[in-house]
Amino acid sequence: MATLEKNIHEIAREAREWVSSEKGQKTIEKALKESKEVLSRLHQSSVNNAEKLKSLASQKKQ
Amino acid sequence: MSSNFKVLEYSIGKLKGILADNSKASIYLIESKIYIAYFEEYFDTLNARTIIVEYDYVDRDFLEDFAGYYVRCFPDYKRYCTRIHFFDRLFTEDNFKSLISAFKDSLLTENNLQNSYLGFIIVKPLPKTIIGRTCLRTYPKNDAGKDGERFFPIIRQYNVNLFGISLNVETLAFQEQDQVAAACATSALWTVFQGTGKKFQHSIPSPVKITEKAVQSFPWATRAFPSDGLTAEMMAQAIRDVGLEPFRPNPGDEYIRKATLYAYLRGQIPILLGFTICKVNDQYQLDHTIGGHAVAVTGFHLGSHIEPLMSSGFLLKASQMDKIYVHDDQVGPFSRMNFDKIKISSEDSSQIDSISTSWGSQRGDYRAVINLMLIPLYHKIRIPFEIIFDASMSFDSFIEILRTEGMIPFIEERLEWDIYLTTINNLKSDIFNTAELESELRLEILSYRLPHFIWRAAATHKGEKVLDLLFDATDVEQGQFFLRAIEYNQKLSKVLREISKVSSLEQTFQTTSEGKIIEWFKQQPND
Repeated sequence: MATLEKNIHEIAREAREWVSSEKGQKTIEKALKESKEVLSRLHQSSVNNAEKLKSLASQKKQ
Repeated sequence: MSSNFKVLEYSIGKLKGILADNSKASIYLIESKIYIAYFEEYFDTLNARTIIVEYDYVDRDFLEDFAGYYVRCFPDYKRYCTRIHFFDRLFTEDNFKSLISAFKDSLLTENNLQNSYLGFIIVKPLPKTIIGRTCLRTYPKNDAGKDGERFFPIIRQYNVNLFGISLNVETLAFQEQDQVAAACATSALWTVFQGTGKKFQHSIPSPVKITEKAVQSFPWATRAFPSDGLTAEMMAQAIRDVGLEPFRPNPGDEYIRKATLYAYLRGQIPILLGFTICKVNDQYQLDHTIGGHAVAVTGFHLGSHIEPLMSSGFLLKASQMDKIYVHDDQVGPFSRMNFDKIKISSEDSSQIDSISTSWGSQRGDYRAVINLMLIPLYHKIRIPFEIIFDASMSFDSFIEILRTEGMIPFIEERLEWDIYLTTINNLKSDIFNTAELESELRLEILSYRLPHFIWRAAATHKGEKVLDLLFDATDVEQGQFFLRAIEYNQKLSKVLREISKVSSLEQTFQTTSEGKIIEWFKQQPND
């Protein structure tokens, strides 16, 4: 149990050091930026689909 | 003495005969209806064995339509309906007579009838559209397995009194549009109000009242009756009229559409879905558009495959949704529409997402292109799903970076997220019944003050709960709408609490919604 406690404290300390480091910061910022880009693409594709629907709705019955 | 009821062994032929005999519709017209094929399959699945036909039944919804329109017509329309009850147990008219005349040796009991009760259909005494209020048991529940699982979160109990015998059925009422007092949108709204009326405690207007109120604020619209349909604005007005707020999310992308449907349906809120029906050829090329249609979404099916979101790899439970169940007044209650990923190509070669319908004689040639989602919300539900989705997805990408960099080695696989609207009562009942929380935290959560409506983003790892993120659905977007986390995994909590105190992290997330989650972890002690 003591070993496990030590391990999790050690893991948390290492994680904190990594997050504080320049490499950690850059990696997190990059991941956040990428996730925002995916969200933007997702919402953008919603808009594009809405436009396609408009054109479909205006199509005359043949 | 003529009897006010008849007991018959079920068959689709007998059902057609009863519909024809108790309406002004011909048997040929009835046989041409899409819902006949649907009822045949549905009652086979439910294993219907016996029918009780109850004559001269007074139905409140039809009576209001009758008083509002039919009574003033020159032809003589009857005001009484016929109610057909269905049972999955075989019994005779003599068995039933013995029960209601209290013969001691009756082979049939009230319990027998209740246990075998499948629900009822009201037959309206009209010439074309004859299916009135219909309450039928849902498809049988199945366990989650390789074939997935069905969910009907909107259903409620309908009580029935049949000659003094108490029966009930768990369902959501359905009815066919009569094209006079109501069009498809009115029928869909009527079904939606059956669910929201119970949940948010508002009165449930009849179809004629819905149509009347919907067009009231649109003086340039054509006459209300006979009704030839409602616009999206009119539907929104009808929702406002019962005291709810119409919320119209963008229905465009299929991933976000499924996620939105799932999130509100899990919150027991039925959704109005509008789409264009398209006739397509064998290669799914657009032949022509039939027109607009509206249905009420009342349930969904989750398959076994979870679909990662684009390059992010975000895993959302809602992506498992492969079918929705809708009350389609042209087809029947709980009719299936499949998310089968088939795209329609049109003249300009653009590919448009579509879902399957049960329209047409040849299955698959009529596709639906969704163009409207309208969600009737209690006015206090202010934070939309999209905000919670974006925050949860970005927070997940942060956790994923920690995982792939080896900072949380005890999390071996990507987290899976389940995001939905809930209430304080449902959340606390769920926590009360879970064994995954340690007693001190369980006590803290169960006695914690929370708002009535909550967004819950629950993360699991290899099927085990690791984290619940709770958001205040009643707050405003500019507010601190993140309430708290419920930390099931002590190791992950330890790391998140530790790293959230790094000042550069606060700076990175300071203006974002997910920053509110990081801020909460920062405020928790490290122990």
